[in-house]
Amino acid sequence: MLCSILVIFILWYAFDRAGGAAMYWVTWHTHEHFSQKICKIVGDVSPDILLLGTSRCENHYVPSIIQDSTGMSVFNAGISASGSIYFQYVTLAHLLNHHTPKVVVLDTGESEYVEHEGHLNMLSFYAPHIGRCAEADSVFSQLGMMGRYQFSHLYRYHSLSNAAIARLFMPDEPNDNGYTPIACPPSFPSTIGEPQQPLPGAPQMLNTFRRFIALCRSHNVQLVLSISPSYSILDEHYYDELKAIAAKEHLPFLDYDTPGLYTDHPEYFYDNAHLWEKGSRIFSQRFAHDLKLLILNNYRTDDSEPY
Amino acid sequence: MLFNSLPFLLFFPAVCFLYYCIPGSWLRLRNLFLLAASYYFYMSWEPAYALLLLTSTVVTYLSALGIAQTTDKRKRKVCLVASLVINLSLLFVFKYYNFLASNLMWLTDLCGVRINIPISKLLLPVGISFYTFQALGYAIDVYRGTTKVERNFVTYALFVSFFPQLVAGPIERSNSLLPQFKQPHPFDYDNGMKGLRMMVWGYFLKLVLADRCGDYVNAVFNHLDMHNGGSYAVASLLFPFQIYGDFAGYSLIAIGAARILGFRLMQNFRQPYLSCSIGEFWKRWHISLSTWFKDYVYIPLGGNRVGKWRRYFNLMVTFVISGCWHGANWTFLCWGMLHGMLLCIEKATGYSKQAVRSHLEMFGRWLLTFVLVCFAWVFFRANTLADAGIVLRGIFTNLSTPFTRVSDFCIIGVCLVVMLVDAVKQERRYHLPLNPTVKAVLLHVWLAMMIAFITLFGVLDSSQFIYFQF
Repeated sequence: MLCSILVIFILWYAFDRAGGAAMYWVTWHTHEHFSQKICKIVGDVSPDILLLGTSRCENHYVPSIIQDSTGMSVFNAGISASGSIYFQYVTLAHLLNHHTPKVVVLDTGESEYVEHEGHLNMLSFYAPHIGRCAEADSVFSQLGMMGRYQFSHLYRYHSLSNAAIARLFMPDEPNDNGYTPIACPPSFPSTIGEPQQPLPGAPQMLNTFRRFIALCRSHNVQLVLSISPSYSILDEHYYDELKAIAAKEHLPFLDYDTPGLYTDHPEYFYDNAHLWEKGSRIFSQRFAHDLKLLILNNYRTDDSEPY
Repeated sequence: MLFNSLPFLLFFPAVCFLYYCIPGSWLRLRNLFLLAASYYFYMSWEPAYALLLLTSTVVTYLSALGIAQTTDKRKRKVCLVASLVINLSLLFVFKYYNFLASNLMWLTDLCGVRINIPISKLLLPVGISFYTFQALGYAIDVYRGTTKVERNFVTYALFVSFFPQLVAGPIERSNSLLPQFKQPHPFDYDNGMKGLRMMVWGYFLKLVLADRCGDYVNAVFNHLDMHNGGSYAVASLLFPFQIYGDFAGYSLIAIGAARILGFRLMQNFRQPYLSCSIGEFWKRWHISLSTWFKDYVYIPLGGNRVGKWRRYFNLMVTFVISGCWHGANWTFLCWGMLHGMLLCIEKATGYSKQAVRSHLEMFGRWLLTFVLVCFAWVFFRANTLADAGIVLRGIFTNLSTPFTRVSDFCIIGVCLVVMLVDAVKQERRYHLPLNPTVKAVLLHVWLAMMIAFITLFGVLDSSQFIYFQF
């Protein structure tokens, strides 16, 4: 029996390594949205301005508008549901591995600093690229995820395997340098989000945020923090924890959320957290203008400015 | 400790290794070891609930001893009734109390007299319905004289708590499982390989088929307001495969694990979706429970030996209890009633006894049975009766383009093809005419491929088995 188990293990190992190699090829050739975008970040794009964040980044910032305003090339590396600073750190590390942008804009939020299981699941999107970037791999090791990916190469692909294979022969979805517009909803949000209290960030995640800042600094990349608008009322101290870190590190902080930008325009929103295409285009013009000012002012923000 | 979790994948080989390290002649030590392992397995959920398992074990053990020690019919009955009352009371308190309390409050509210009944905050212990029924079956068998009383407490406690089938069956019979604890079970290569094959196939059914279908089904049934009739129809079509993959997968892992240890558990599923009548479906679905209800509820009520109307009444009672057994919710009750009604109609029309004249007729019968079973599953899966109504109304009145994820459908399609091939192979008892060496090589390759397939396509987040909640 032990001999049989050993034979099965050896055969499995062979299938695992061969399957892993095949899936690596699939990952680079599929038209599946996430795999394709991550492959671009890992080895393809070389923008001057890199936009990082979750779906609120992916759906809110229109690169062509920002590009027209700033005259710099832009790539929106926001990925839906990626929602954690670990994910953003890995994304940045992979990009810095082959290209150094001038500016990194991190669209952030309090929820990205609160621990939950989903963070680890989303991080597995980068598992196919383990071994390419030591800095990114350090996050997997820090979170105790490295062992399983070293043990099985096929397991690295299990999050997106079926989608990647299914979309191997399907056409590309058109997008504007990583930006994914949301279609007009059947009805706009009718009630404004309930007032929310700030969430305390997990020390390990706030630490990763500090490492993120240090990583930018070590590559001479200017980091800009931004929080895009939502259709909700926030406590005025909602982002104090992040603002305190930004102030300490002398980082520009563009907060469009606490002042309730567009809360009188429900027609811009798809739901309480997301702008649909029309809203995102209007917001991007505003953001592009502010970013241009910031670049012209050498990234110094005046406290009296209504950011 | 779930079967699809890393702790179990470490626990099970360790148990096997230590079990076979104990010589077969030291039977008591082996049983004691298995008992300790089973309690450890159960306590990994909530240690306190092991007391409940122990209570059920002690009560049925003592009542069976009481039954065996006397020939006085009245005393024997008292012992049996005491065992039934205590075990069913435990089941009632943990499983049905809140349901009854909330319905009573709703009813009194309707009458304009508000009474406040405190709601229990006790969590439902995993597998309580399974081990309670197994223990009760033993007590009833001893009372009927169809099984011998077990005087060794360790052996009996192991019969109730044997870890492969403790939390979700198959619900074993005492005269089948108890004698196996008195045999030495030396390690057998064939048993080991068969068990391993069953476990791998069970994991495939659970992690790939059930959990992939579950992604879609849960997305629709838990957010009905965000979907249309088309999505309801697709989800209603996928749920039967989800629940089959989930439960048949669990049963196969349980049977396979027991087989590796040298024990034979009863078959729980026999390609139920190939049935051509509801009666046949119940001979193929959750066989251990349906035969339990047949032997301990339907037959004592009179079974088929009574008049036509009484027979229908017996069927309805059995299926209503079966619905209740699955959960304290009106949806399960409706599901049970629906199956009871369909069986009554089949019996009344003599449908299942009519000869099938052509393949086309057989296909028609299969399709009708499958559609009816799917229809009933809607009640089983819906969170409330109102939700079931929304789903059925949506399917019949708003059948537009469903929400689709090409990727999920691809993998589900592959799984269904594999399942169909396996079902036809099993049904026809077809075996490839190959020599044993080639067969052994193919088996090893097949097992390795299946494990690789599960690694790549399985949902490996230790999701719960549906039947654990029962």
